[in-house]
Amino acid sequence: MKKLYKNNGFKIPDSYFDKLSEKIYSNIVSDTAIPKNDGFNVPDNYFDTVHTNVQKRIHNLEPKVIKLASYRKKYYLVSAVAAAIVLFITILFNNYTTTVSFQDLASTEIDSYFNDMDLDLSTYDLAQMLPIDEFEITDVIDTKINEEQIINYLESNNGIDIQELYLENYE
Amino acid sequence: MIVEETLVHQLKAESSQAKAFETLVDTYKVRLYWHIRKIVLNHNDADDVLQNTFIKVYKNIQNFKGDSKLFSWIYRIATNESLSFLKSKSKMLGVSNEELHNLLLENLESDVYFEGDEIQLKLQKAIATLPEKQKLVFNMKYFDELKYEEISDILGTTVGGLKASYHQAAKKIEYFLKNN
Repeated sequence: MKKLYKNNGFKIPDSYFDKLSEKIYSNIVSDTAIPKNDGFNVPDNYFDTVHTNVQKRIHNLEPKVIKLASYRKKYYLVSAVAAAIVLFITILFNNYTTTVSFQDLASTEIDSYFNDMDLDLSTYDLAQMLPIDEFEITDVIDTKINEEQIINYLESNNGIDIQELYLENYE
Repeated sequence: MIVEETLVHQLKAESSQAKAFETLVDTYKVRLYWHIRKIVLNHNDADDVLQNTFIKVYKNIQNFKGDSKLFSWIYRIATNESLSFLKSKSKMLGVSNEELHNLLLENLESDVYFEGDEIQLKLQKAIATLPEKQKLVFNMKYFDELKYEEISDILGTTVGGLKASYHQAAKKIEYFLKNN
């Protein structure tokens, strides 16, 4: 079979097979009654106005903006370097100058300290050690509660009649 | 005719942009208009889409990497703009894509910028029956006379696939014209 088209003396034009299918398809189409003219039309001088109309829309849509990209890059670079220097100096000096006060400790840290350390102190021991007389109610809570609020609380939550209490005390 | 690479370079440079853009519009306006018009059919819509296409080119020219030809890139933008336009129009009117095409064809009969005879109107009706891809391929090959390689670059389809699409489209149109 190979011998049939090997050295048989026939030749074909360059790229014949590459263009064959295209040629056949175009022949198919040209044989039919498909009109080449599509009937569409445009207003007179329409194409002369296209550029002007596009330009108008571009100017209306986009007001001229001054590009800040180059300034921004420099600004970011300088800011980054300055921030790095400030951070380095702050860390360096703060390591030697900062002292931790009692107020800086969280209450959980204090609790865990007492729990972890074997202080051998009971609640009663602690109560004995604390100078109760020196404490005020405002050391424990921030807002000062007035007498009227206490009476209202006792009456509304415990069903206690203050008048009865007075009477009981005087009996 | 200005070399494409030079034009791209001038479009990207701020100093030469305005003049280069004018050259770009003048070079491609007619071809692009007819490409768009074949898709949207109506002149006013084609004018809108053409302007949108050039505005998009102007805004995005800095992103053009030169992987394809400038001409193919612009054609692709025009094709996408036209199809998006039709989609939003059908959404706005609350009709399907097919219903919109029928509506556009009905309007074509009374369009002052359509002077086609009965056969030309029938041809547009035949094209309207094609699937979107075949429609594009047929218009680009038959009317715009683009090469398969150019269409392939624009639509991102293989040349073999395009030939098959064109062949099927031509057969369908031929059948429609003979039987309607």
